[in-house]
Amino acid sequence: MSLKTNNIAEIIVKHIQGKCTASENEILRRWSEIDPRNMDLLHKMMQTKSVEQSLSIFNKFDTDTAWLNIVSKSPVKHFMSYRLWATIAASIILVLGASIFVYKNFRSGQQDPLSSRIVASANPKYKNDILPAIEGATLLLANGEKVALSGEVTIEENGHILNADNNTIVELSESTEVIYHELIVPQTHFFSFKLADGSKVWVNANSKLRFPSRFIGDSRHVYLIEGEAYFEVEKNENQPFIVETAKANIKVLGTRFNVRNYQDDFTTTLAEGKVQVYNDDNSLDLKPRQKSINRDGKLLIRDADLTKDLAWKNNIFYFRNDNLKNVMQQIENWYGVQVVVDRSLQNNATYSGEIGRDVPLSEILNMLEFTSGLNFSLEGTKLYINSKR
Amino acid sequence: MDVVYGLAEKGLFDKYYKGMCYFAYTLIRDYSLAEDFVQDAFIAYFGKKEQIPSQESVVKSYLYTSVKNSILNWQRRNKVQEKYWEKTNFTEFDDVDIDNAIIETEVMEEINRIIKELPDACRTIFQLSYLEGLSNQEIADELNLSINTIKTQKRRGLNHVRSRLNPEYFLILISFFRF
Repeated sequence: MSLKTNNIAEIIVKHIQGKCTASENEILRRWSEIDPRNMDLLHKMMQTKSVEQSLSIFNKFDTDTAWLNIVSKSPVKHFMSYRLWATIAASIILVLGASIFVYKNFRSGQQDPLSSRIVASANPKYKNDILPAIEGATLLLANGEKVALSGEVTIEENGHILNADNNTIVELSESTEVIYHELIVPQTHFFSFKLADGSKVWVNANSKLRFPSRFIGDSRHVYLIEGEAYFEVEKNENQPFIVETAKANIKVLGTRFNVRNYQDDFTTTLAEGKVQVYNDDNSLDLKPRQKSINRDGKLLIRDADLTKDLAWKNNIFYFRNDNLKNVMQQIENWYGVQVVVDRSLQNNATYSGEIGRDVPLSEILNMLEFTSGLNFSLEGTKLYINSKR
Repeated sequence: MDVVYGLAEKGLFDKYYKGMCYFAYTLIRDYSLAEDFVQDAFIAYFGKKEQIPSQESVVKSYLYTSVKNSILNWQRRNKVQEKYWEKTNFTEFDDVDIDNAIIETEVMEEINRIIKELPDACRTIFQLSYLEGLSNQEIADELNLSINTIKTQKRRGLNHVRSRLNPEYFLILISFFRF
């Protein structure tokens, strides 16, 4: 898809909406004169009758049937053997589960291999259960070294980083040096810490944050490479705090706000104070209880549901008319499961419910079963979803 | 290679499947062949997903190109079958045909998206009526609702679409050729 085709399509839609600028009309006019087929297409798109016909063709294609078709073309053999394996494994897990659980409670905060999070299920409905995410992250140092973090870390004003036992993780040689670290919070983990200026950051599962050892100069910069983070920024009017992302920057003096930076979702939600969200094309000032969203590169202001947008930081799952994809993405991130959705599920259905995030997966599934028409089964880390019949 | 058909894959599929089929159909006018080409394109993409940047425009580009190549190959295979060509009145597709099919698809995706944003009850009725061509009575029977409800919902649906599209769009022809 070239820039040109994309552009023309956009202008045609604008033209249908009657929102074309004079220069866009001119682009369209020139384009339509290049080739008679262009003129025909434009003509067609401007006629209600032909668009109605096109819409009915567009909607003849059945996405769900097609999905089933391509899934069934995927290597069936592998899937069958997996099921067989899962049945055997489940019975072993049942026996081992309890001991793993005890073992896990003895360990403190080590990076957690997935296998030890699969435990026996107290609910006979599920073959096994999965424990929630744990506190922990990996710190990628400027020299390429990786340090596993668990529990609290302290970043001193001079840039040294200490772990919970006051052992030094990072020591900087020169006092003027500023180096950047990358905090990697994988699936099934969460982490919170204080930056060198005392600002507090909560980082959600599946996120990456780059931050400096110290803040010098006339502004404080951190980079939310991907994922979600909540900031409580220490006020310093002489040194604004700037969260940079690939899609836009967020500039604040001292305030509390949440930033979600996913491929298809870039949202900044302001809890308190004032922030400025800006990129090359737009700049917005948010008031408390407002959020900025990104629609096709444009930043727009919407009212925010703080309970919902900040739920993760308060360690709860809070779904309000969320579609299945949103709900399941959160569950995938938090429990490290792979969700397999049955074709019978309606794409437009929405789900609501609220529950603490510090519970095993089975409790979330019970809640969702109760509030929705969904039926779950769990085999290892594969979570199968279909509708109740 | 083991391809996991998980939520992310299904999300992508839901988002682009109809559009890709529409693109193929616009060129070849054959529903089932269009679906075959598009499903092959998705299977190829899922198999290579790790190697392809995940930005929307790149993924879409990959799918369009993949479907386009299937169509061009199919066309060349058919070229030898003169009868088929005479019957269907085909000429080989050039860049304008392909580009315009993409433009048309993108426009239809956007219009379809606006219709999908209609409130639930309204949308069902709207779709049955305008997309599937049922009469008010047929819709009332199908949904077990009164005719009056159908009429009200239709009016609400139309108002909603109108507020997002240029009102004149619902007149048969628009003023484009006048400027």
